[in-house]
Amino acid sequence: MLKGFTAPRSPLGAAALVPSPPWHFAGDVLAVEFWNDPDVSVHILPTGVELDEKCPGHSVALFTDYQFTAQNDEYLDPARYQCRGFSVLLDAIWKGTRIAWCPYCYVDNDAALMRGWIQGYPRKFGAVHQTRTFATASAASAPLVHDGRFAACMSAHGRLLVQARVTLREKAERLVGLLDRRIVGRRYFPRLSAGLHDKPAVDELVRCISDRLLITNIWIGEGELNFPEAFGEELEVLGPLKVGRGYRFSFSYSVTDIEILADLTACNRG
Amino acid sequence: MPTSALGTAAGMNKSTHFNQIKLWLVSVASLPKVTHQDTKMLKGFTVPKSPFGQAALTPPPPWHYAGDAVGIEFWTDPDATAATLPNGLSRDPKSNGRAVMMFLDWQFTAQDDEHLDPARYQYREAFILVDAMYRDVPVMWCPYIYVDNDAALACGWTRGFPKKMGSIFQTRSFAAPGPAAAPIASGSRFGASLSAHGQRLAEACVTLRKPVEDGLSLLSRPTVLLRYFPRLAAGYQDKPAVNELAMSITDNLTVVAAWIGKGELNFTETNGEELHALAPKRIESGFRYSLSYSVSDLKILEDHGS
Repeated sequence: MLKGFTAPRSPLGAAALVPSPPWHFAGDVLAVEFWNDPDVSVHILPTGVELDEKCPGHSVALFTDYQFTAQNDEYLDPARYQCRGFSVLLDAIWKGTRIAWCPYCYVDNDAALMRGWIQGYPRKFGAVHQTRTFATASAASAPLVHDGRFAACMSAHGRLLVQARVTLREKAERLVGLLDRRIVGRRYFPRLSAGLHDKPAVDELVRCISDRLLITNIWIGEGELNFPEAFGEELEVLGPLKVGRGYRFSFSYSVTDIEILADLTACNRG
Repeated sequence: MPTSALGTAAGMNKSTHFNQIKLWLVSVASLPKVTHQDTKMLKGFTVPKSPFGQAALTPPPPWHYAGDAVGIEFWTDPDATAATLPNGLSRDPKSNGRAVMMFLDWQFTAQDDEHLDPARYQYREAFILVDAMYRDVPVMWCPYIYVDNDAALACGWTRGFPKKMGSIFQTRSFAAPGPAAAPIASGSRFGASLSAHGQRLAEACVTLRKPVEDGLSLLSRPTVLLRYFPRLAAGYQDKPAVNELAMSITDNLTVVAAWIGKGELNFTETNGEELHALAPKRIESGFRYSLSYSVSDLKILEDHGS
């Protein structure tokens, strides 16, 4: 009996890329809200998901720097279970409900890549960096203070894909206009057998379920954001026409479940 | 993406596009199934699916591979190899415990000159194959495999290779002679290594002794794999969405410049890996060759469903 929540399944279950849920996350976020061209971003939506006509093109660029653990002190293995990520979330509507659609997502770690595919995030590899804040006072410590400046970037395969900067202006009690919608993604796993390349084994629209989501040390300020054009990516067509607020905060949450909104395999395409 | 493509996207008429969509919901079993006559066409063989299909981790098959291989044939604990076998495979009574550790240096292309984007489509790989039987067919099973590139990870998962990320290197052979060139010649030595997340997992060295006339004789058994993709919905986490025993189908498999000789191989015990359970007890040989093949199909042997 081979064990493991994911491949590789092995005699002891120690080799699997990802241990079984519950999964717990804690980390820091640098985020910039922006508006892209809704006539373009509408084309990134899957069947059944529509743009939110109340805020067409409103999106957020999210840089995360986080630590993961399951039931076995995984956070004490930082090489394997720390991760940096970048996601785009686009305001959208599913059957009348406000959601955030995730068209693109990048991480720097293989366990996170697999977790992402399982959760419906279309993850690829990227090199992601963000300014961190340290406890000791120094020109390099980037404290969370008025006018504090933070930057982030993401590149993949030697090409720069995103640059962002945030200048902190005020501490806030809660996030306003950010992460106030449940994230929807698409679990997708193709077939390779001849004649079935366009008939995926798994194609599900899913809504993420976050337990015990805590957000703290919230700072809001000004954002700057740029998506340079890059071959082999389509991120830049979702790039900002207008940039809004910048955010910096810390978060934690857990995952034990996912909500399946629709089985798209009946479509066979799209 | 070319600017012209950007222009095309921006120029598509949204209202016309929405008018083309016929969407309704039908309740089938426990899940709503979305059906429709026409739909938005997001493109891509894998995620991320996108309007132009340029963002997907890997382009659709046929996939073509060319590369160099350094490998070690060895014997390990037969109970340890048997313990890695999935349902549907059994021990090979004639070669129980035989294994091959391979290190590969690959270049990939599909239909769009992907080999001219080396950052994205070159990769290095290390994997272990163990002898097994599928019914009465001698096969090799791949319990563990590592690559250094995300496109290769996605291709691998689709084929049933349980790929994880690793840092893999092998001595290369260069045309201009010199102490660093490592020519394909008797006495030449090729080293190889695999590490992951800061831990060294395997080290190998091959000393070439003599050319092998029929290089394909080194690849006599088909490879059997497990396509596996779990569910996350509560109550279904032990009922995978995909659990298929599959046999790799390689087209136009070509082996050239095959040499065989002495092999050395060492697996280090590491946390979060089980490769070291297959550590060598006796080395049979070392070899090196260049190879190419194409993939456009996969044979599903058994659907173990959930």
